[in-house]
Amino acid sequence: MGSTSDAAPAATTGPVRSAATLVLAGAALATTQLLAVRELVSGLFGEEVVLLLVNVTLFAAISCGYWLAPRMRRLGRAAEIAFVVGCLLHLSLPVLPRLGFAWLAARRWNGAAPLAMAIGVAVALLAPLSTLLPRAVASYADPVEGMRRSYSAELAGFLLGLGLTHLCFGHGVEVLVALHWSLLALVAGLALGARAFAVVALPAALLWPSLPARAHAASNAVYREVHGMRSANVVFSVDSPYQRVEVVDSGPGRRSLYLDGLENLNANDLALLNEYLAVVPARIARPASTLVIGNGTLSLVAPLAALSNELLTVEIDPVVVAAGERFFSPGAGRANLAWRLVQDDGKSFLAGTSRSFDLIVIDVPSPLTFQEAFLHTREFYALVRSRLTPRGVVTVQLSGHRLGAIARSPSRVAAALAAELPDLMVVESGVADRAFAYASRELPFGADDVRAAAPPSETRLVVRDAEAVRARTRGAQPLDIDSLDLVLRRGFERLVDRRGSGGAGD
Amino acid sequence: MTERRAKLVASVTGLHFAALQLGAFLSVESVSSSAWATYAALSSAWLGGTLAGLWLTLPARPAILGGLLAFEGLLVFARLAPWSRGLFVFGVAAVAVGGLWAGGFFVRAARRRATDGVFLHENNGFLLGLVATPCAFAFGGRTALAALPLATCALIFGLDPTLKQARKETP
Repeated sequence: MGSTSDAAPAATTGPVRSAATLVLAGAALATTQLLAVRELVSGLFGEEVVLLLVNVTLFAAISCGYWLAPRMRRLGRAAEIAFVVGCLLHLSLPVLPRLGFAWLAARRWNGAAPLAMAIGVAVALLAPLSTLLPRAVASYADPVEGMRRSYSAELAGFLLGLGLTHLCFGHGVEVLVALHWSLLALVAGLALGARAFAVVALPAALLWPSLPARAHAASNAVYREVHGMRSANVVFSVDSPYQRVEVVDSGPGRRSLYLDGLENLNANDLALLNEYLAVVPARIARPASTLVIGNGTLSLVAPLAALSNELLTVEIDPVVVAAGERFFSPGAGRANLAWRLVQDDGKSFLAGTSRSFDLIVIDVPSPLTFQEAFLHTREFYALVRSRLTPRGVVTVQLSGHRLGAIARSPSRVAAALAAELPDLMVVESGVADRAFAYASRELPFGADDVRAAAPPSETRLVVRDAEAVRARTRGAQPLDIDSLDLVLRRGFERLVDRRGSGGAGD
Repeated sequence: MTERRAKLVASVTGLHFAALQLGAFLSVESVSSSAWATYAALSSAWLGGTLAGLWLTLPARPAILGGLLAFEGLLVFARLAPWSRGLFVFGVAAVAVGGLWAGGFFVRAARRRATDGVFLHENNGFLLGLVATPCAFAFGGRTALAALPLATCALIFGLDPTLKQARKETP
């Protein structure tokens, strides 16, 4: 098949070809990791614990490759064939992992089976590529020169891969896959010769045109089997630098936004969620200037623009904004001159602005990853306080339906907020099935104002003032940067519940 | 140094690298920005430092201690000046300095003709660090984040007797 005896790039192929092979292999390792992380994290649901598990799985797969590398010399031609088969397995991306998760869920094998499958996928994808570096180093007579040249080439390739991948974000998965398959075919060709290139490149070229349709069908299968949405139709699926963003229709008027496989919101709940998170306080306080952190769906633009002289939305993920504009808030704010969108991290924006706001709405996901949890910490709320006008209000969704046990998210987030902004009110809505907090140095409204402004459809509204909140959260440790145990504990509980109950846990 | 001990040193070194790299990421992102640009800049700084470390002739002890010092300095900076614009620049520089020994370590292994299994054992240690660092951060905060590389660094010096003779070594 090839020009070398064991697919070791350097010894028999010359240093330039060896370096080129490793550069491309490094780039392919970067694209493999990013593709695998998205597929596996979305399939297993994207809490920090899952991210951790997936990353461990990927590095374990690389260790497998390193372990195999010195053994491959003994295998001779079989090693070459195994390497090419390994490359061919990449052609199953992203369809096979999705169908695998769906197939396991359809058989109710929801316990350890999906995790085992994730390990298998990671090993199959990453181990062959990881064998190249140790074999390249070993092929040099001078180990120092071998180490320097080979490792430098692979690292440079990895950097190149990161850069190229960045260009693929925001497009359908077929764009990244095209880059990935091209890199693999070139690696196979450079390591093993023209026949290996043809064996990988030809099926890749044949499979690629049908990839969007097959990936779409596989995504539908995941939502139908894993999430139990019988008529799910994934109408949007694009990877951003931060997450997989998917919009799923599951019946007439039933549209949901999923981020890394976790339901972020559905269109039915959105109006009520927005009502309590932002519209009620804005209706009472009539802010001159409002800042919304998050809310990439832009669903708050229209209602808040009508209640505030000036509205600013800060969202980190441009793909969520694209999905929001297209599926949740078509034309939102386009005609509204008082509205402006800034693409930035909320922390970074607040730290960099000198402006103050009458109302700051924090519309971010629950603290299930560190990045999300940073936006629920005491340190962040101190930064928010510094950007509030004297009677300015911050509103937060408490990631739960009521103030319950002191170790749970609502109590710990409320405690963090109370530690920085003494005048606090918690609203527990029966109809929205969520609890919300309004905090300020001095709230410009009271409980009766909130009750009066509540939507008529409300079935059970509990409004707790600062004293009642402090009593309920006494003993709760405020969420801060040095106590983010909640992220891993809650993620682990959810993971165990899901695996134990055999359901998606949406 | 016995082969078994060399494997252990490689694994602890991998754990040390994970503690430095992830620790710096978490430290910067918690009080600065979690944007992709921040992640990409920090990752590139680590890889750039590693690349430089492969080609520079680095004495082991100063390289290890320099990386540790830069990391601890970054944590202090993040504590004293959260939300500061300078934190990102300091973070990139500190991560690059930490990455230097990630390159130097492998060249040192090659110089000793001990490359068999060095990637495997270093990667296994890194894998352990991928779990240990977020757990340390979640349950022990930034104090644990600061303590972990101190512990791994002490372990490296304790396990590798040749590091004590490093000054006498010719590169």
